[in-house]
Amino acid sequence: MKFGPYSVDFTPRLVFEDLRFSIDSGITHFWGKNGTGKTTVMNLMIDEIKQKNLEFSYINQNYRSNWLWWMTVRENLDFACSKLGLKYSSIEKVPQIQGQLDWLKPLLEGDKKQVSFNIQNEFSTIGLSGGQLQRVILLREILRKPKFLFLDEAFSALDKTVALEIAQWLVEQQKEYKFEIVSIVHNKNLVEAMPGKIYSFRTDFNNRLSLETSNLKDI
Amino acid sequence: MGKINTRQILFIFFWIIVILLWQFLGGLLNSSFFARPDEILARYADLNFWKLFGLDFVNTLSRLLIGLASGYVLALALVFASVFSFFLQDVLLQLNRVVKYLPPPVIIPISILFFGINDWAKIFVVTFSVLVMYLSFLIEILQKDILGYKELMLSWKVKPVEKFTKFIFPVSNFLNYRVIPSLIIWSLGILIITEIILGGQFGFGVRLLLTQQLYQTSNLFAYIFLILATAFLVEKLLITYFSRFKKDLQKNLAGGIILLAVLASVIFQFQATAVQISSQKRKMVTYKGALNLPLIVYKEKFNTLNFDLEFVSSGLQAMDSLQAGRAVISGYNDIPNVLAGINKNNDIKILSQAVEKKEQPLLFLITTRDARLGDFKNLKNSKIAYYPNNPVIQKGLDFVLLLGGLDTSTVEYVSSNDPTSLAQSLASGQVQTLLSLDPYVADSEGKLGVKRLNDKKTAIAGIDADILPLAGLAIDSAKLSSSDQKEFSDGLDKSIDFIRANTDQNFKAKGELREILKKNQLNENSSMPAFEKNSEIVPKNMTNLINLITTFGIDELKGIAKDDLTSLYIKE
Repeated sequence: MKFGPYSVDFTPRLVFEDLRFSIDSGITHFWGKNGTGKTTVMNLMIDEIKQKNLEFSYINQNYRSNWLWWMTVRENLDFACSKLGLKYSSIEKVPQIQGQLDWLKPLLEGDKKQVSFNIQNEFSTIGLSGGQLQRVILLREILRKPKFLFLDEAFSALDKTVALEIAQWLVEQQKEYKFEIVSIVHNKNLVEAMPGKIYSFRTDFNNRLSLETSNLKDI
Repeated sequence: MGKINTRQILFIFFWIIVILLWQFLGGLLNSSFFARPDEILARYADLNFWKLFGLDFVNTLSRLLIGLASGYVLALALVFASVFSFFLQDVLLQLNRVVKYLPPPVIIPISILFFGINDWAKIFVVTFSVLVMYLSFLIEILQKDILGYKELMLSWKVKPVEKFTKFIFPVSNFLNYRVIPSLIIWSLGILIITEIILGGQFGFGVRLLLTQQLYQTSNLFAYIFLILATAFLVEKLLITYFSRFKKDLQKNLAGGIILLAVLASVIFQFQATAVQISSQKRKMVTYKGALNLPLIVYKEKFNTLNFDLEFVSSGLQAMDSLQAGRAVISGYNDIPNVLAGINKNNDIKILSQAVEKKEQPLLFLITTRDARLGDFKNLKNSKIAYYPNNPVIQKGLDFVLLLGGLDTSTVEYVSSNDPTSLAQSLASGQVQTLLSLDPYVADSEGKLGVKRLNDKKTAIAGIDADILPLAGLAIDSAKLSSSDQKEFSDGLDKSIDFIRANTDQNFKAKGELREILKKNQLNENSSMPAFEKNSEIVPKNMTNLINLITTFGIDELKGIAKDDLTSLYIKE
């Protein structure tokens, strides 16, 4: 699918005009230093997708805002399934979840929430670590089988091994369900684990953005 | 049990010292103004105190809970409706921006217009207050807490109804812990203010004002501590069982059932009261004060027509109730109020009066300065309080002082509808002179060791009146048949005879009258023999008064015809 043309003038921070590119290889990485406009371009793509009324899912840098903190892990996943019209007697029966039960099952037990009240009736954040939360959010979004999955540093809270494990799992899911992943990462190993097209974001002295395709060895 | 550390010992020690100091310093102060801990504890040992507190508690709590629940549900309903329409959402936002700046007590007069002076008016004020505050809270959730989920809601294609059921409601329910406690204390505060203003039979606000007016200071302090405890318990229970009701009810089912049973009984009790209030029983409306003794005695002893007696907080409100048709009898109210009522509604007539007579004065002047009757020069530059609070009394007083040689342009007059507060102002030195009625004057005399200036002569002699009507009992003649008028008039005469028969030479109550006063929480030393029976009313007594009124330009009374003053009265 072709995206653009996009023009932005955030002088002096960032400027680009008539930016055009295409996403069609299954997995696309936006690679570049901080402040080169990766998230800005991703947001412009999402706006375009919204206008075209296509299914999408977006896990942004502030991944906590993707999590319905007032619901338990089970309720979050159930809600995602209900939006798809999936009817299972329990979330454990969903095929995609069956391979994940070793780490997910403890979280599904005991109505675990991200937030809770302590004995003094004060609001406190317990129950789920940042890494667990990010992992469940990724799982939940895949369950929804979107046409486009936008990942903006969606592995930031995960340890290296788990991040690579999930990246490989994402690749499998992408192959099976044929959706487009657009990802912003700063870890070469993750790019390697999720082979696809790489767009390098570079800005010149005037902070003018240029976009070019790169190979893994060039980045 | 954990080990008690030094900090805790210091803490306990600190509070023991505070209480001991309170006890010791309290002993140095007048107990009418300050209660000591032992006096407060003694109140808690009195069963009657608890009976009264129970009734006040049930009444106030019922109003509070019904108001809280109505405001809460209405706010949620409005936000629920707004998720279906951006236009409605914008209207709600705009409305909230404006209405949140409206202090809730300003709604009290409107609630009186809508509902009259009754429980529903009080509930309406609480409902409105809770609605405004809770709506602000929900809109904040809509604009801040939920706004972050805009992308997610869009990508998930969340339906409007889901926006409410899956987002707004659960989030607000979850965050209630931070708003419900403030909401409870705040709405209880608004309710108590409303109860103080609207009066009534029971309620925390009603009792607080009464205990202050009757110098029942230890009761007042004891009540304040109980209100504090009540607010604490209500907050804890509501937070525990309702702000996160789903989970907590599962965990504490037994407690929840008990609480629901208590709530149900409170509401049942309230409904029983409400049915009684809204029943067709005809009403007499008055405010608590010695001047209204004949009505109180009538209700207790001679109520053959089975009237209800409702207490409001001022004569003005009592007269408003009569004019609005919510009562058939009102009194004894200040004469200008009564005349204003008659001027607007020809069916309102005077049936009985409380009068000031030269040989039997009611109004006394008392001062902390060196002054004597006929020579008021030393009152120059002083602050002078007067009661009853009406302009005629003020002008009459002004005239008398002027005749006594005082340049009255140098004095400042103050007044209120609460004679006790004025007497307290004299005792505390905020005013230097007071014109008032007994027992308030006698109380001040006792405390300050000063004598009334006009022990034998009336203070109104200066305005050339032998008899000055102070207050009148008014009835709506259109709503009472002539036989009922006659029956009521006879009963009232009996009441007045009873008061006279049970009053000693110093105008103090004795025997059964004393018990009636006690039962109605009126000062036991405040009986007044100055009531005129229907048959004794002489319309010409009113002439001087109306002359004064028209001289001083009270516009709304200008329509009163002086040539036929009999039209103001019920004719026998």
